[in-house]
Amino acid sequence: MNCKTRMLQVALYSYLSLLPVSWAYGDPSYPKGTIVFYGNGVFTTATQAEFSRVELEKRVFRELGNSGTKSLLTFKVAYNRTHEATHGLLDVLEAFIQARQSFSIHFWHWLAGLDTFGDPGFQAIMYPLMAELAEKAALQSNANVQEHVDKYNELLLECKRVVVVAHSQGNFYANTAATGIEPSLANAFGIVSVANPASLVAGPYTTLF
Amino acid sequence: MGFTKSVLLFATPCLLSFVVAVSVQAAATIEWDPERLSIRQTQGSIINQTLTVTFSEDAVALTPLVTPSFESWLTVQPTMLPDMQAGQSLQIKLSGVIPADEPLGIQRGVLQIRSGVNQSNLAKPIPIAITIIESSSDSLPPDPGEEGKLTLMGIDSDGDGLRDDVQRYIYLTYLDQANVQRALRQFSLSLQKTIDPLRAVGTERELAREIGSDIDCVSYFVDESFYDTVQLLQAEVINTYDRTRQHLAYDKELSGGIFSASGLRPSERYKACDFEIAPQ
Repeated sequence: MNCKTRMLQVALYSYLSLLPVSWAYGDPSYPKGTIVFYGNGVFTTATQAEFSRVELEKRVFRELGNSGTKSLLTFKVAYNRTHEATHGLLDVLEAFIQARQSFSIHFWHWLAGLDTFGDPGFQAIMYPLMAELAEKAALQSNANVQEHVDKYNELLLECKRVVVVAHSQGNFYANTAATGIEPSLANAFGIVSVANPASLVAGPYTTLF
Repeated sequence: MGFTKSVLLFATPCLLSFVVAVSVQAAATIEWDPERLSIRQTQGSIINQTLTVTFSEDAVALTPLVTPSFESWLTVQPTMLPDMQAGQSLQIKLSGVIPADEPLGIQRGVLQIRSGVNQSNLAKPIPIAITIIESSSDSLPPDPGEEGKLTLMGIDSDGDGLRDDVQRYIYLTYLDQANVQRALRQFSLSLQKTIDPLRAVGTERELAREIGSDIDCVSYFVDESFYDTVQLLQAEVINTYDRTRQHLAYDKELSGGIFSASGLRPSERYKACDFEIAPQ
């Protein structure tokens, strides 16, 4: 049985019976393994996306324990710039400076969620702005995903599975990319959707709520 | 009995006047900012600290003085202080070089200010604790302070390629963790390139892969606290408004990219490190 036929067969019942996250854990039917892409959300730099990629990998591996399937997983970053210059991190930076009266390294701490700044005045300025910017970012989600699509198709043709773990606004990008997947390979492509602001997941899904 | 009574009659007023004198002397007339100085330095390193003292009463003929344990290598500037009025503040600098053979451990003492014709001590002196640690091949450059933030690339006084403030942060935050220090140093060197105004156009993708590989190296040595560790370090490297804007300009060029980092399995990520790994 060749790789493609096998992929189709296995993917069919995978989609019907398994949760997306378990689907990503590797399968002996795909000896060349699964490539897991972390697709970042809004207000995240590429460097921070790498931090999250490592953290995701650590947590998945911890979950898997000593399972041999770990050797079938490879993690990469599919970087979504969801914060273009007109309404993105630069705007957040300027608003932060106005709210705090000066720049400080706490900008990065706050952006990373390490410092919440309980000051109500600060929160009153920043959170509505962040919500507005995130909404604008969602509206421009048809941004460039061609490089992602090309890479996903290339890997699928190598008989690898591709899973995109999409966070927040990253779901718009993953959904857009899914439409560019070669139809004959689409069953080996999946999305694990985290904190999804979109109204759909491109493919089967399960949800906690 | 007569003798004992005489002694008591004589001693009691003396004791009372001593207590009163001590009480008067102990009245707080100066406040320090910070309230105490506690620093950690390597043998042979430079001390450069600035303290602010505020007077709550008028004071004249003021002389700052450190306790004898510090006298041989710690100097106070200015050596003579101007007369001060209630509510006035002034800055006092402590500087010096810790001898390379100074014993390791904590050295404690105080900086006090004497006042008046009798040069009596003003309360309160500021407690000083200097923890002297072993110098290593990574001996620290001096803290560049605010001057180190004036340009994108900052100050690298020892010419090792890493900004002095970042070098100090890594060393002093991860004491006794040689491999963590080296991994974070490797990562910081790449991160610095993202804000380098002389970096060639079109090198963003290559640099992003280099950074991903460096992050893999860090992840080999830092487990539970990985996320916080790298985020905090990034905040130290990209620590000014101009540096943040420059970093975001670099980041913009990475839009839509795929980054593979080292591609190494977690158990093999020490191979992404470009330094000799110290025995654990």
